[in-house]
Amino acid sequence: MTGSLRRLALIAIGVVVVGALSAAVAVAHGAGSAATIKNGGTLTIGLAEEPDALDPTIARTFVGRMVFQTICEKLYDLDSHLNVVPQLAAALPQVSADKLTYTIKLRSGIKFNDGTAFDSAAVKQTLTRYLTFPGSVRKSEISPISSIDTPNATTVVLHLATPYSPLVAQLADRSGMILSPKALASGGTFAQNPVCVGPFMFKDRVAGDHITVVKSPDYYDKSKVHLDSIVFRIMTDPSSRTAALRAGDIQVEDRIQSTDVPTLQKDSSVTVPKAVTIGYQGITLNLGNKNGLLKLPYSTVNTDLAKSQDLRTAFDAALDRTTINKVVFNGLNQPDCYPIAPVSPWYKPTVSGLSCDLHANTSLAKSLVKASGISNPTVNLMLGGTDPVTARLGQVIQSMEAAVGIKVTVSPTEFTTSLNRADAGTFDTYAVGWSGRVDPDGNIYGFVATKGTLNDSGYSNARLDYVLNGARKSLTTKARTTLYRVAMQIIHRQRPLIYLYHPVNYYGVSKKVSGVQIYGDGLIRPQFAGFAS
Amino acid sequence: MGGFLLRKAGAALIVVFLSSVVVFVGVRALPGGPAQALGGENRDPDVVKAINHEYGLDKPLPVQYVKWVSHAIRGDLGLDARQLPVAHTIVTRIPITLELAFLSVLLGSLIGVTAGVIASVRRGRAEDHAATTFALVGLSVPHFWLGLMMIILFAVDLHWLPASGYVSFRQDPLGNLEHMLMPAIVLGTGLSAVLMRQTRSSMLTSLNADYVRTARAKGLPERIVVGKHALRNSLITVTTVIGLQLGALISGAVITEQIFVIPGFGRLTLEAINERDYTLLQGVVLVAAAGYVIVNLLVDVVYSLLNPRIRVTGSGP
Amino acid sequence: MSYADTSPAVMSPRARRRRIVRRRFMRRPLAVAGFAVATAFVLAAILAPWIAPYGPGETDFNALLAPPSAQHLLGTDELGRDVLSRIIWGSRASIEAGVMATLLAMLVAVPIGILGGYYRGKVDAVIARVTDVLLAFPFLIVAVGLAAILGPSLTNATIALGIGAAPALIRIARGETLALREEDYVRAAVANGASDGRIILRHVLPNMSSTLIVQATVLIPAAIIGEAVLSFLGLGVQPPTPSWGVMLADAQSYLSEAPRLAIFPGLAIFFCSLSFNLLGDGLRDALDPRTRR
Repeated sequence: MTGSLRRLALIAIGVVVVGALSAAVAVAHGAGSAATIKNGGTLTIGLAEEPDALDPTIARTFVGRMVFQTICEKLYDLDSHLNVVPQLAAALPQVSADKLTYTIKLRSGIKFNDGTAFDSAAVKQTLTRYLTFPGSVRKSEISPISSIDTPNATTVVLHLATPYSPLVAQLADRSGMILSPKALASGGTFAQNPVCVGPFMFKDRVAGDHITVVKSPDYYDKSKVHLDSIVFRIMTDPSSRTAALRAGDIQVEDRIQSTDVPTLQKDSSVTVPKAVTIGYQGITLNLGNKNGLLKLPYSTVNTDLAKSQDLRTAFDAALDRTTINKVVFNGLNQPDCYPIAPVSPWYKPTVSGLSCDLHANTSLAKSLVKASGISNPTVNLMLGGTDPVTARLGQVIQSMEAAVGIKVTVSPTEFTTSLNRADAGTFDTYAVGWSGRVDPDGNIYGFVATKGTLNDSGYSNARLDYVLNGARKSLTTKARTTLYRVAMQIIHRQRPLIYLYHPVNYYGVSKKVSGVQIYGDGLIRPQFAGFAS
Repeated sequence: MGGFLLRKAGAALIVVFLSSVVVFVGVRALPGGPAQALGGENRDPDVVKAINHEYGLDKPLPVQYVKWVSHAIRGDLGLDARQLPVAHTIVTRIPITLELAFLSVLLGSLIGVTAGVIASVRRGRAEDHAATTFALVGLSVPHFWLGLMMIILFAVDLHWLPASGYVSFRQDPLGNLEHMLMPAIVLGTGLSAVLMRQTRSSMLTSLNADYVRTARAKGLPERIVVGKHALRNSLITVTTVIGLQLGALISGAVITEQIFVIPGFGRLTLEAINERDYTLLQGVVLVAAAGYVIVNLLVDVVYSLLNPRIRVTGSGP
Repeated sequence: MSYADTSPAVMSPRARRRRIVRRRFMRRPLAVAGFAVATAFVLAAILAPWIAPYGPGETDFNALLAPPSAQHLLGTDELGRDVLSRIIWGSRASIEAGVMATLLAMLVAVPIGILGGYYRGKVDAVIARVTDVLLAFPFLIVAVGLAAILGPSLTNATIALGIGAAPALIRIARGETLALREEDYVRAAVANGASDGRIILRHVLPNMSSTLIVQATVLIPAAIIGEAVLSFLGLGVQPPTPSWGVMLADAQSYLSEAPRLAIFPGLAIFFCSLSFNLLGDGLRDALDPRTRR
């Protein structure tokens, strides 16, 4: 071939290759996104509650985590299947054979939102703060960490005092959020101007009204961020939240109340994604909490339910979980008898197959009430809230128990007061829930282990303690699931807690917006969303 | 005049001081201390102890009180449970309630005084009966229910007005008024009913007074007779009634803001109580009490300016 | 044997006056209507167990949010409970709160007001300052705070309402006492050496009774609405006891689906308080020597 012909052939091949590549990219991109997202704009999200202090060291609200999604990335994160994946870390940690040493490699070239460099020293400083800051709520989540080494700028080594399987899951939540050392050193209150690594950064906040975050110029993946800013509006009234979505005042609605879901599903301007959460709601029974939480040893309290196992089983059997779901929640939640949700990867090996009757068995309940030998059994149910939905739940339970001869009095109590009473042991039964943790230990240990810091029931069972501690230290998933299965059966039989359902959250997203993700942990993830063009 | 004012201001100061003590003690009587409020789902005993120390709750009460008051005078009302400055929150949210109160008083006064004047002039006739009935209805209707009814009609059915929420005036003046219209009507109804009755009764008294009869005998046009006295009387009446109804106005603002989801000062009070946010609650109730006393003082001053007889005799203890 | 002789010639001045008042009252159709409706509500409250078609907490999970029908004249609510029955049962909470709160306010405020007005001086100054402080706190905040401290219940809501109404009543009682102590017959009694207690009980208190009665008829409807507000906020009556305020709170979630759940309880509150207001207006006009009819 002559030189020019060869050159022409090469160019032709080049064009074909590039053309094919572009076509492939275009196809992949087109399949991935329903509409092209344009850059710019402010997304307004209506939150169901107000976040507490924006300092991960002391934060404890569910909605706070939603705000942190945008401004504070973590060492690890969850994917849509609730598996742990690296975020600020470069990869999952290397774990030593004895499970006492975790080596975490960090990503390099990342900056905090104030321009300072993200490195292992910053990670060590943050984790140390979580472990030692007075009033740190993160402490009990990562307490087994005894020391931290930083051999180089991109490696962190955690040394544990005892094996602790839930560690990586905890680093995929607030305990893994890394704070800017410069912001910590500045002396002010971190919560008033939080600085971390994130696609957005904190701008301003008015208590009870809104929080504004704006696009960060220092984020390592800037090209994925489309919005200019996000405004989180505090809208605690569910009816007005829905009205705001329909009016276009907000584009994303947090947790639609069940009575509005059918209306919004028929509204053609919004989509209604749902998240089957990993949390649970149930009733905690005071069995041994006489003098207060962690005032050991626990001894049986003098109530009808605490004294009689038969009565507890009767109480459970009188409840028709399906009807409760239908009447109180419009049929939208997931009735169940165990604390692990079906959407969790742990569900199948630990719970499936265990006995759970979603309907009431009133004849069994009545005979058990008789067998208990207690005439005119009375139970007081403390509700963790004074809102109408919780009130409905209380009244339905009251009605169902009356049908089998158990008299229930209901005490709607403001949430923090109810927590106070639960801790003090001045309650009989308590309708309350838990937002859920990815690792089953997070949904069980604190509530039923003798030394559990959330054990308001005052339940103490040496065998259960042995099983749960073993599950924490176990080296294989198989061993853990076996142990948790045993734990479930013990809890189900003795009933320190009666589990009723797993919340299914419904959210509203305007069709003008694309890219808002919601996974099974129930958090709204808007950081890479944008307005459709 | 000076002596009168000084006495009134002195009394007001004592009331504010006593109120601050009541607030301080009252807030501490609430069950579930701040540690629990910050508790949420994790209640580590060490966490509780640290929070108690941070709030200074382990020191004796008088020490805590002095510390609080000395800060408050300087405008520092502390940090709330979310670590945000309480003073900033109050300063940002009060103007919203002030706007609501202003619009309500404006609407209530316009409707109430006008109705009262008309009723007094047309005594015994159809207009009088209509106005009197309207006042009675306004007094008897629970205004939070009125709010709900208006939401059903004007927002849910007719889509004329938004059901709830708030938009700032600077951002969107028309939207702001749209959002405030129903709340202002709801809050102003009670006031207009009371005003109508008071205006009517005081107009009737003065219209029968000797000097009015003289004016009429002299041949002055009815319009001037009514107008001059209507103006005078209504100002005095409105001022007095507002002073008396102030407490009801604040309470009404709380529930109106609750129903219409307006992020104002009234709603803030409810939030503070529900969240057991000690610091926020202290600051909020103190500001509310102080504000009430100050407004009352202003009302007294205005009243004494309008009614010189009060200044001289100085009624009251 | 003596029996009541009601011929005008031998009627005591007080009995004669009462007759005149009654006659003047009867001439006002609105006042009579108010009296009749208020009585009807009170009777409904007392006779609820016998006249309500269903029990107050009777649920029917198969008839949720049912529209009005033969079995349920006003339909059912979100738990299948009969709305009409709950309104009848709910009158108990309202009437109880209205009457008890007013009584409490009277029992607390009147003695204090009289003491301040009668003795004046330092006692009065202290009472006046305390009253000012009490007035400085918006009633709703006090009520919410009290309910938060004492726990939500109808009793505590009633107490909060009573305390909220007291300061204004103290002022009124004080004002009346200040005026009455200048009356001739009081001065005469003082000159005769009568004890303070005797003067207050025989001369001051009876002569302010008409003012107090009128105040009561103003306070009762205010307390009825106040109970509704507190229950609406979740601080009053506890389930399953019905209350008009609680019914309104529950209805908020269903404003578009079933607005009647909000309309009927509200109408009940409205008519109940309206009737007491009409009654009060009628009494005031009848008792007032200045009105002509």
